[in-house]
Amino acid sequence: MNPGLLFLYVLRAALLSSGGMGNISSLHNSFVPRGLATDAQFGQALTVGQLAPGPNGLWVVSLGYLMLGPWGSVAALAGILIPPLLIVWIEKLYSRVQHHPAAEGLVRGLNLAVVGAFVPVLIKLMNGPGVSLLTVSLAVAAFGLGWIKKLPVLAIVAACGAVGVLANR
Amino acid sequence: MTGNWKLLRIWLLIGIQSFGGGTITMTLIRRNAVDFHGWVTEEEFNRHWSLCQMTPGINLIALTVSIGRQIGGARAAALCLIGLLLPSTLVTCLFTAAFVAVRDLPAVQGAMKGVLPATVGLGMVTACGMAHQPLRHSLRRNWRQLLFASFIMLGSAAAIWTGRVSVTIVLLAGAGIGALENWITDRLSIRREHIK
Repeated sequence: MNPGLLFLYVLRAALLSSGGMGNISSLHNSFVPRGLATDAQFGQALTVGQLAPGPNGLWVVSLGYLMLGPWGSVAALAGILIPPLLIVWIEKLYSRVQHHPAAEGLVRGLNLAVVGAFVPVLIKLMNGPGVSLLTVSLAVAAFGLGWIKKLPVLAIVAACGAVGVLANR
Repeated sequence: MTGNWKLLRIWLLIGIQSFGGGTITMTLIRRNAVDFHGWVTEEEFNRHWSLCQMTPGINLIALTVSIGRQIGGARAAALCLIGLLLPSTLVTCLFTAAFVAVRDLPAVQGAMKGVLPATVGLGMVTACGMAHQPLRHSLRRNWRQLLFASFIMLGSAAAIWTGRVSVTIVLLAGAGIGALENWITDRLSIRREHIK
């Protein structure tokens, strides 16, 4: 794997997804079965993406760094930067086709498929820490706390990390 | 008209302050663009955001480009993008480098056994947020649309779970089925109206 190839994989995944984390299934499918990245690296990159400022989609920059060092993060950044620039073209196109029912259905269908493809990958990430009563409870607790949006993400992640340290002493 | 340096400074501040993920970043962009600087109206902001939902990749990058273009063309868009991404990308790299340096420590490995499930749980919240809008839209139309939307979502999940179908094919199939279904539903409703 070299930065150029990483750029192409990230670019393809970003072109076929919407939102910062919609590309996870495509990237997971491209890297993990071929031994280019591990589930643990995906989990670590997603964690950094949650903690760092800016869009959550920058988790890919962290993944690039974990896979290939600083040049990997540069390649990943370039790959995620290009597809959103299509907004310029989409604004022009949309004014022409906005009322066509197929255009609306296409976007909705893609969004639904992205969500459907996203969930199995998240579940597979649980293989990293291992599926146990503790890890499942922490995932459910984080989901509940994240859902009510009363606590900052940083506090939820730190609390779960502290439980992990105490449980593994 | 906001000067180049001022524009860059404003977006650098947005980039530095946006700890807490996409929702916080979006809130900061909206406050600055609509409330503080009046670059766009509330209505224009909503239109920009709707179009960003249709753009591939990170919506917030598309939103930044879109608002930047309205402020002052391609140059302003580039400055806004640099301001948003420079601090956040640097901090992401620093966090990752720091993590690589300490990841073999027993305490860090223990912490990761708690942090990774948290990431999965928080990722599920994101997935629910992504599913909410298209499912609600389908429910508003009729139960058949909701059933169809659920079929696309669950079918995609099952296909990925088996590991036998390429993600690209799953996503293209979802988009194609969605387009076809919406087009057929629309044609049928026009025909029914015509018969009446």
